[in-house]
Amino acid sequence: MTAFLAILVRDVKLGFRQGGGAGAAIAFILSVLVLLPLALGPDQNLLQRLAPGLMWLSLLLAVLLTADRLFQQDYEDGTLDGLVGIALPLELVCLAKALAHFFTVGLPLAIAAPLLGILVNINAALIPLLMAAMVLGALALSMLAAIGGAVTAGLRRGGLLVALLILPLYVPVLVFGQSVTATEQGRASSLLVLLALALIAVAVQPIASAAALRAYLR
Amino acid sequence: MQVLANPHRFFSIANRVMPLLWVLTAMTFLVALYFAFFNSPADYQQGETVRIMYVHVPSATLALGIYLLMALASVMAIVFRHPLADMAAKAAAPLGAAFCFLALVTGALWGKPMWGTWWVWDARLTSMFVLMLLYLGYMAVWKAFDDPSRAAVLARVVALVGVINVPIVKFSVDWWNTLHQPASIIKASGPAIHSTILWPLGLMFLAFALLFLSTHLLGLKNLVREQRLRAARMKAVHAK
Amino acid sequence: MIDFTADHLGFVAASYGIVAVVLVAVVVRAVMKARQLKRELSSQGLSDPGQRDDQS
Repeated sequence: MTAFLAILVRDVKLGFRQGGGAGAAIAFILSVLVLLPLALGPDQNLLQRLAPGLMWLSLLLAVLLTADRLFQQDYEDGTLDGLVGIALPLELVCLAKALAHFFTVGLPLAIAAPLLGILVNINAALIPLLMAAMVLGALALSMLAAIGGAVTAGLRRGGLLVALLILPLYVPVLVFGQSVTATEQGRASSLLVLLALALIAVAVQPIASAAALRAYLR
Repeated sequence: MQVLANPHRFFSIANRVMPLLWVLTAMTFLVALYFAFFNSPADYQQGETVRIMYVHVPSATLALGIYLLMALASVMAIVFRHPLADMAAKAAAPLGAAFCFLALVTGALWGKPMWGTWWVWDARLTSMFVLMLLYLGYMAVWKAFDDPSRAAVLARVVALVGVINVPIVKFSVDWWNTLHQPASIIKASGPAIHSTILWPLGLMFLAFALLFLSTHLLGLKNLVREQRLRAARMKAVHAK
Repeated sequence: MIDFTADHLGFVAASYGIVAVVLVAVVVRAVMKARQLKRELSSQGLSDPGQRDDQS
């Protein structure tokens, strides 16, 4: 347990220090939110309709853009070999690293995005709901990103492959994420399904990522 | 299973079966095409475009079936460490992608005259689109790595994660459609299938499946040949 | 029997056309590859999978 926490804390710290984490993610969504009204025109009604979808897209792209770095650095500098030697199973190492990604990229964005949605005239009543949905969604997305990141850990230019690998996995999360705020009916059940998706991802990710990383560590 | 366990015996049997398989494939296609064009009626609603179904449905079914086969082969590779299992999955992928592509294109060609649009974000179409992405990702993994034993392990992971994803995607887009009340005219059941349609459909499906089987066997054999050439090359390098 | 004067016949023709093109391409590609690999194998004195004298 202490080893698990140590990896988690180390990765979270690294994520914030390197500027690849929360700061970059929020800067990313800010740039989307500023550029979009300029690109679409300042129609308040249109922006309000698009706002939740925009939030989801920003989250998705931010996670996608950081996915290939998830294991790459540790693989290249040999940290990963060191992590295998410790008492912790590789599966838990993978879980810790994916959680760290969630804390540095997904979670800050999921909390900040609905608030920043004010810039695009988001329906204020939807903010808490969207926030809850995005936190669950971000957890699932980080887990799926970790699977893609583990498969491409040894590739110098894995960015495109990672995108291709995890895009189909993101479809269900996006579908349920947007249906939470899209309609009145089925709101609670959409949230529940989102929770289920996050749990499935948490259960599958360690096994899949560890299996992929073992291909590199032999 | 015992026969399959030995690649040499597998291929000595396959070599004898293959010519027969090609002939059978060609003959089934001829009969199926005859039924599809000359021995089946036009649909009272869809007119002659119903004939697109005879190539569309087999393509879609095979696209899905081949992905399941790939996942099954990946499981076999993990559980039994069978030398041909990874190659069987690898050889199946481009064929599955081809059928998936055909399902998408013929679907669009059928949709345009029938629903008035090439594409709708309906549950089945979206699922098929995601399946195409899964195929492309799987093939890209094999392409991306020089070391085949490493690529094999990673490809297994990708295939198995993908096969978990397929039913989840289907479920989620079904849900999504019921929420949005799509304007599309596609119904889950479709028109009741009449026996005059069943014959050309069944025969065409058989022809497609036979074509897949023969091409897959040939592709598998090609992969074994490549492996041999590679092994010989490695040996030559080490001997120097 | 197909009615050659019906509406939308172009869509039917295009469907069968593209299916034929793709399936033929898939088969031809595999056959060409098989020929090339067979040549390479025999030029290096290696046996073909399942050949009678194949030892591996």
